[in-house]
Amino acid sequence: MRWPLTIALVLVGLLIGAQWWNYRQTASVIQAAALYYDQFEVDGARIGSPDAAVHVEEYFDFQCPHCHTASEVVVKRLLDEYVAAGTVSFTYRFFPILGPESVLAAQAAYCAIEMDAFWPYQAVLMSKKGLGNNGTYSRDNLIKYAGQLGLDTGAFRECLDGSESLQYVQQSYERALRMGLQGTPTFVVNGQVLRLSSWEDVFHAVDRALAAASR
Amino acid sequence: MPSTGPSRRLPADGETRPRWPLALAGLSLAGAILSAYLWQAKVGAASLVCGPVGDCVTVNASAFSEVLGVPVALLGMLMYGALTGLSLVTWRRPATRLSQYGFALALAGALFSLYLTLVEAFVIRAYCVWCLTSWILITGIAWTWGRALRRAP
Repeated sequence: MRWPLTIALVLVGLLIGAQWWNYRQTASVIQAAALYYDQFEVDGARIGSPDAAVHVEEYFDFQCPHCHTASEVVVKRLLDEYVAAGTVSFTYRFFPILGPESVLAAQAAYCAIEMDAFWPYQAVLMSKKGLGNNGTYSRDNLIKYAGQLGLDTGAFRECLDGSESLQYVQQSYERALRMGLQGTPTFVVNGQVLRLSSWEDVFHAVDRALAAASR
Repeated sequence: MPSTGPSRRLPADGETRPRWPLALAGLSLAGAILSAYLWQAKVGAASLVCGPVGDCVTVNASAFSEVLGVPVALLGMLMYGALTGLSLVTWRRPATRLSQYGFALALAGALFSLYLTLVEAFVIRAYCVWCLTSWILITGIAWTWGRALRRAP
């Protein structure tokens, strides 16, 4: 009877240890993300000074793999090199075209806007790199991510289930359609929709807009 | 040639098989179905009905509903599935050593479930009625299994 007890205790010890280790890791990543965005002026899904000479928008979908890449390759660099300098402001616009979890994730991001936590929240969602409506952005997971950020999960759930979040996402989606957008990510610099052949094109367009603004 | 060792012992003619493994197989199957439901809710394939007690959505969406990215409900389903199989083997061959592995697994499940219940009470501060049901189920299974093994000759 003694060895089954030993096996059980070892098994439970491993499970609890793994769970707490993962919990601590996630907490430190989230804390780092929150600290990073603290340095910027934020207003909802817009980041950077409202007086910036150039305004960049990105129409995106949380389940679009190129949007995950763009968040690492383009948005991060824009924030570090342009937004931090006060010359550019950047706004994420929802264009959920890849299924129900895209819509749900956008609704959740809207709720994060309502709770003044859009930027760290979108960073968490982007880091999950969910694809193909496979549950990464299920309702429960979206609430869990909010909880990991320290948001009130009860209020968040209420918002997610409410009609306001869906309406907001719907409006953003329709605006993208009216602009004739057909895919994600689509970057818009001072109202000009960019046709990209490489990520560098975004920075070239921003530099041109900055040069034009300084003339 | 048939094995004559204790782990291969079959009940002799006229000797009745113990009934407790069959009862545990039934309970384990119920636990497997319950865990499968929670797992499906976790991945968004089913909506979670909590009933009037507690807040199972908050619990099932918490960071403690996973172990290294694997949903606890999926682990629970695998554990209950294994316990169903081990119970049936124990019923067919009462003296098999696999029975002790079954007890070890059930005991681990009961202890981990107790830990999760404490987490619900003191960390998440929300209760999940389905998780509490599972805790009672696995504790009952482990207790019955351990008692039967102690009584075994």
